[in-house]
Amino acid sequence: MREAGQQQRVTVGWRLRDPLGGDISAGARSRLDDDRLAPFSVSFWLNNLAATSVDPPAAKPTTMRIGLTGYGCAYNAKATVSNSTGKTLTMAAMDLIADAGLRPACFLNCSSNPTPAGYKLAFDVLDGNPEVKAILVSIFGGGTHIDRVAKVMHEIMAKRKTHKPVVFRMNGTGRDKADELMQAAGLHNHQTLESAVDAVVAPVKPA
Amino acid sequence: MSVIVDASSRVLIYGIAGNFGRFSARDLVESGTKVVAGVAPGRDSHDVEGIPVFQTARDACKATGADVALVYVPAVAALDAVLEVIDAGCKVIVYPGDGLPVQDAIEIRTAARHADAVVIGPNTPGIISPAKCKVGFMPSFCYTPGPFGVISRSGSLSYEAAWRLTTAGIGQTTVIGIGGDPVKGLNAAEAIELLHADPATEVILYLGEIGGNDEYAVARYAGCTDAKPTAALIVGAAAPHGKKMGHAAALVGSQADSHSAKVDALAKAGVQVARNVRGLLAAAKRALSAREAAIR
Repeated sequence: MREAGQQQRVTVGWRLRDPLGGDISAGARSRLDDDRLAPFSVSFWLNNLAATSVDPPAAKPTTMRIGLTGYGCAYNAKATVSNSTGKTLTMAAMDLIADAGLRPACFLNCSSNPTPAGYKLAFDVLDGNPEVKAILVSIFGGGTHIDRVAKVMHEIMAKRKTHKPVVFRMNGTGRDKADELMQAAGLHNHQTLESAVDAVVAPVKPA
Repeated sequence: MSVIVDASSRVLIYGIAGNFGRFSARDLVESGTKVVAGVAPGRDSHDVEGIPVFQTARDACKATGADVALVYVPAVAALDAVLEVIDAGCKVIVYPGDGLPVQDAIEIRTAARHADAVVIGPNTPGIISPAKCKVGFMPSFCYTPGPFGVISRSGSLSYEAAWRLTTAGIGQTTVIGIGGDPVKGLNAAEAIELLHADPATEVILYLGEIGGNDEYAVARYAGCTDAKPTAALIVGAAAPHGKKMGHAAALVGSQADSHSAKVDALAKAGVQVARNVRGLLAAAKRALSAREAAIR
């Protein structure tokens, strides 16, 4: 119940599906105050939701996937508490793959603070997609600590059942420790995005 | 010199008591930034990493003279938090969060204009003037002082670009993450004006992508007779039409949004354009050479 003299914000949200198959949320917000008994401003907004959950993103893994056709795959995961980034660097990797004469199969962005379960979900998605021939993990971490990501990658690689090649290029916050962890796990961390792309297209490029 | 923030900036971190706020507090202090206050409404924290914590932005600014705010709250709380720090007197506000409703972004931009304040974001890693002030969470080792002013819609691409420049011995005056959303606190045209007016910025580097029209603003600037030499990297050549590639504004809905149209427009305006990240350093060096030739 709203007390006299108080403004109250009422928010209603619901999920919609857009014509392109993505999930979006829509909502309305209104403010009520003593001067008016009816809402005096109503605003609507659309947010693209991560596709898998309506619960708070931090609680469950969330992914956004755009399917393409072709060889190779670009995968990028990066997040902070309140920001999700890495998408543009993924596009940069996709451009380099296209320059090599191949086409990225998938733009998969694990955003909104991915958990180890989120990364595992991403690998399950990619490993289960027959169009994906090789996987590139490209992360330049600012808020994301790539040493923590390296630890998770090691665990995933150790338990993974498929043999699709995985190429890593991780740079950014925690880089030195990430390099140590990757080396100890027998995983190679490419210094540059170009060398990582060259490595990921090599096994799938037609002779 | 630097633009928007400098060595005298006094930073408050709104949301300092959360995990990310705490990490950021340590990180900013280690980078040499003057972090003078934290705000943690409703939390029973007196200090974080030795930084005094207040319940409201007004109390924090009054007690410490904070004039820059780094706001770490979820999108649903962002409008209230940003309006609070503007009202408290902060003149630079960085909001890194993703998913801010467009309506809220419009309201924030309007409020900032009325208060003669600058909002960086949303959906940004922040802003850094290397060795002077960092307001955000970019990895500090990627940056070094130098002549390039950098404007970027993307966080990760700005880290990549700065790392490549720094590794090649080319430094930066200020790196501004304007963010990937369609409504920004500071857009490319406004950011480029600030870098143009900064005497220490000799060359401008713009990092763009498909969708939106910031790139055309850069092209218009570069076509001016007194424009500083400008380089650009545009990504998204391989992006399919009609699919939003992560950023809310990264959508090719028309030919003008496309990679090829933007590259053409920038090249016609005299910008040294890299069509992909492989060509970035060469484009930057050509712009720097153009500057050096102009001085001679």
